[in-house]
Amino acid sequence: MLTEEEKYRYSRHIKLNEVGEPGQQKLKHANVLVIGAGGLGCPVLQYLSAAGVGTIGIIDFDTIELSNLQRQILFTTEDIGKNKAKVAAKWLSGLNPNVDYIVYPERLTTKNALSLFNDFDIVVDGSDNFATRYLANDAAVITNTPLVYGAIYKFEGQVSVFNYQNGPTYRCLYPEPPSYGAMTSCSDIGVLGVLPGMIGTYQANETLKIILGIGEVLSGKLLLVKALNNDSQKLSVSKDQQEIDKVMSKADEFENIDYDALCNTTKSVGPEINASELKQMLGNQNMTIIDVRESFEEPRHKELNAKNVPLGVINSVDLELPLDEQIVVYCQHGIRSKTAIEILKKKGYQNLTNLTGGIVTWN
Amino acid sequence: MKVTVKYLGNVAEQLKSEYEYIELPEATTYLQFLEVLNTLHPDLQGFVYKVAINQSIATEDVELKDDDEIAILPPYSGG
Repeated sequence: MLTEEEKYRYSRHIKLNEVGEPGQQKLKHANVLVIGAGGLGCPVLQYLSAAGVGTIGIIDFDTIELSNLQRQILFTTEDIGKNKAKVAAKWLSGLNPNVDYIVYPERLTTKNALSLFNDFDIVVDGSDNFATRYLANDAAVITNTPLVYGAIYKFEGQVSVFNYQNGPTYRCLYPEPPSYGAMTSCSDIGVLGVLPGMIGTYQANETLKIILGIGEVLSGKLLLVKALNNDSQKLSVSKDQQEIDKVMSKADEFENIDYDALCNTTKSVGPEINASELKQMLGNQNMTIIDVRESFEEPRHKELNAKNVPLGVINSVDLELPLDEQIVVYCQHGIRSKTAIEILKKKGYQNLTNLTGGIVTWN
Repeated sequence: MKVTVKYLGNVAEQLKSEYEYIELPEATTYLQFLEVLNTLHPDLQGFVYKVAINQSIATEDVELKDDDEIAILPPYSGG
């Protein structure tokens, strides 16, 4: 039953034929878990709260920092340093005290995912890395929970709904995470602040449509949005039963799967040195230093005398170096350089060392 | 025949291009097109992406037609 306050609060919903009091009741009885209270999570949480979703779970281990405030619009400057899930719940309960907020100030892991997903009707993926996305997909498949997906890159976004009414899953679209080489974990990829606002709001829209049972949900469809030119397209995605069966066959081992390793975020490719060790090695004539960043990336550090061979061309360029040459490879954060080392190994180079942490550690 | 190929995400950045027209022999299939693409842009080898033909993610080897629109879709992880 809706209270008088709720009937007035949600009157603009109730006036809609497609919602009415029955629809608002459905929202009140719904339980939604939002993974991440960041760029995507903030608008999702705000709109689901405003809409009166009865129970909202918020899972985020991260703390608020100043650079978040360019796009994570639930937070204030005074919140810097505090946990995102806790602060989100605090502000959201001011917006709508009728909602039951369950705060999980922790990481989503294989140890908590299955029981969490079982507790909620719908999960919204507002995470910011592949390991969590694949973990969420697999947990959603195993627990048979719809997953409202959104993902962004600079000025572009994707939206879809996975595992809904027998529809495709994330792995039906992208079966495996990008290998090391896809540079996706570099944290200084920028983003236009409004983009997660746009995509997160689309995710909130999908969630409401699922709960209310109205409109057309993006199941079997991938919405692509480009903020720079307002191009948007809906692409058809088909289900790949093999990908679903693969996940189900590993359900019993789910708690032991290492998603970080599968997404290669911490893989070792051989010897590593840090910036001070490299400094001591400078002046060794038999050493070549290679910078695999793009030509426009800063800082340059001429004193290193590095050859600039961007990662994208390192396979096709002839380095004109003997295969036993001592080569130190660096990039911005020490991640792309590992991919470059793997490529150079395949070309026969034997003496490759990575600059751990990347050139940002140099001073 | 001519197809329009649209690039997104880090693929568009790598190729420094959002789209291009590619000439193909009549009756080129989707898999043959991928070979043409890899020859034209060897840098793409390091990338993971899905391909859509005329707004539908490609799942089997089909014959392409004149004016087909192909989109190269790398995954995004940001949030």
